[in-house]
Amino acid sequence: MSSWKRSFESISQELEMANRKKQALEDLLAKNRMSRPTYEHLLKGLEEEISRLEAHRRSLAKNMTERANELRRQIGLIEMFLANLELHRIGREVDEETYNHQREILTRGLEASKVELRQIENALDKIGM
Amino acid sequence: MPPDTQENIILELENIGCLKRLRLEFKPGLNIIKAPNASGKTTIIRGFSCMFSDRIPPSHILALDELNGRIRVHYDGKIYEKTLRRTPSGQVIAQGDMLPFADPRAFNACVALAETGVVHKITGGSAFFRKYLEELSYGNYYSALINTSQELINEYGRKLAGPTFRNFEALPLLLTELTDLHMRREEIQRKIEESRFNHEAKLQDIRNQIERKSSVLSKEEAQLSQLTRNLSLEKEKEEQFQELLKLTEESSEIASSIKRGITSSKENQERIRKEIETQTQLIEKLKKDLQVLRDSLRREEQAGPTALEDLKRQLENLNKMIILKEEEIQRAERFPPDDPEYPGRLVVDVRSEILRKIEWLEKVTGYFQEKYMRRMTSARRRFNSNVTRAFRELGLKGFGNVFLDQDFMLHVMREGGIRQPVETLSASEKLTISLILMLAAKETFLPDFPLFIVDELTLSYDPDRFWRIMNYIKRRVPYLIVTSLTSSLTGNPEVIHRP
Repeated sequence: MSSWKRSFESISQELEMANRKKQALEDLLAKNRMSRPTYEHLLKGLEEEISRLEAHRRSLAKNMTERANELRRQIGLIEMFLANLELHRIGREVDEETYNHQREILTRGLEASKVELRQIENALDKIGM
Repeated sequence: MPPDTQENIILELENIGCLKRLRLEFKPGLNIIKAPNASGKTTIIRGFSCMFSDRIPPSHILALDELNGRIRVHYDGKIYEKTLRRTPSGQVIAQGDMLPFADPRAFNACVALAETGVVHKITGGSAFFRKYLEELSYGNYYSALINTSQELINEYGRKLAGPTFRNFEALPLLLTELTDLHMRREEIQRKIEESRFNHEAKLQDIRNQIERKSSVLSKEEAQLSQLTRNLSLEKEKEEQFQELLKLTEESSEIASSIKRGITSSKENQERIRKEIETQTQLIEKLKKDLQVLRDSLRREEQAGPTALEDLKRQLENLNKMIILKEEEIQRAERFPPDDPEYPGRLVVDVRSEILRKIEWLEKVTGYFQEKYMRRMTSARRRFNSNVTRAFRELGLKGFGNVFLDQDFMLHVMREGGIRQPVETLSASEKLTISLILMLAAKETFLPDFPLFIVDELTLSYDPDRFWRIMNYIKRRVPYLIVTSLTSSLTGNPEVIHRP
């Protein structure tokens, strides 16, 4: 698993937990199970934690956007190499075996890049960035 | 009082130590109290020192066989008197005046008895002078305030570590546990919904199958009815043919035709019967299938959704656990109603009160620490400067410099910059350093105190050193009083004056 993915999943879980805790806190206040001063004290701590996690997620999203751009460039390059390879094949500048071997490598790289790009885009969509 | 107008000081003692009654007169300059051993030289100094402060004197200051005593001093045209009284419990109580220049620090800076601060320290080999300088510079007031603040901070810190505060600090953890229970409950609720939905879908599927089968059965039954009707019609047709045949001549063409009709009708009947049989079997099968489906529907309806009961039990348990956790949280936010200090109060309020106090006390501590540091640094510098000047002006051989470092540790530097530990100094050197440190302390902290008293400490001095030091002190203090041993074995203490 990519490091961004691990971090993203971990931070998303932490953030969800923090938001759920905030909801639990609201419920306690609404049910009169907690006084307002205690609620505010705990809320302050939680909001600080949420802000910290959100800042971390924003920074992670920035890195992910950079990685997505890098992947797009990489995909463009691989596609260009593939087109080039096809031209060489048409011009009979490469033998069939070399062509097949190189094509397989490039196609595999292209697929892997596209999969990772899709995952990043989905993750960024989830957090609305 | 300016030095040129200084008057004599008269000291009168009554029932002090071993002295029943004594009158001594001290003139400006050097006064040597001469007396044989055990004749009351130290008692005179102790008695005189009682006039320097309002401290409670030691019980032995008063003659052991007396209940009352008196110390009287004639100074600057006035009489200052202190009376001493022994209580039934043996304590000595002093009442009366102090000298106008009295200062409780004088005993440590201006009275060189074997038991006084510096002498005791140096002769004991100790080199730490922080406490000594703290007392003389009043830095001890700051350190007392700092210690008190620190003690209060520690006390509040101990309070914050108490069980109620610990429970309160665990609230975020309890909230996490509660959230976890909520999440587990949501999961169970989701499973229940899913189970109900699946069950309903399954029932609906069976119902649909039943409906479809019923519809097929109806059609097949209609078909069977039709076949049965067809069979009856064929039978009627055959019967009609048979009747007709009876009326017709057997050899006629009509008869042949009727016979073919009968044969055809019989064949039709046979075919219809087979079809009826097949149809009946099909209907039977459909009915059986339908019965199976209905049984299945009944069973499913009776059984209800899969594992629903178990899930409901889990949900019930989780709801109970949530209530218990909420109660735990509710308890953690308050002091118990029977708490001796904060009954029923919110921990968050008490905690912020205590934290505010700690914050304030830390500010106070910081403020006084700064004051203390400034005062002590300044005191140490002035003290060191006076010590250096004394050594320079006395020109004592063997000593380079004597000073206190920033940790208030005394350093004795020999000529050539070699450091010598205090405990390794000779007895007379220890005494010389003690006297100079005391004189430096007096000049630094008690510059207006007119007396400097040295008790028999100079016995080990050679005459040159004795006079060099005494003359040096005499130039700086209006009245220098020194006790000394006489060669005679008896006699009262007497004062020899050297202007």
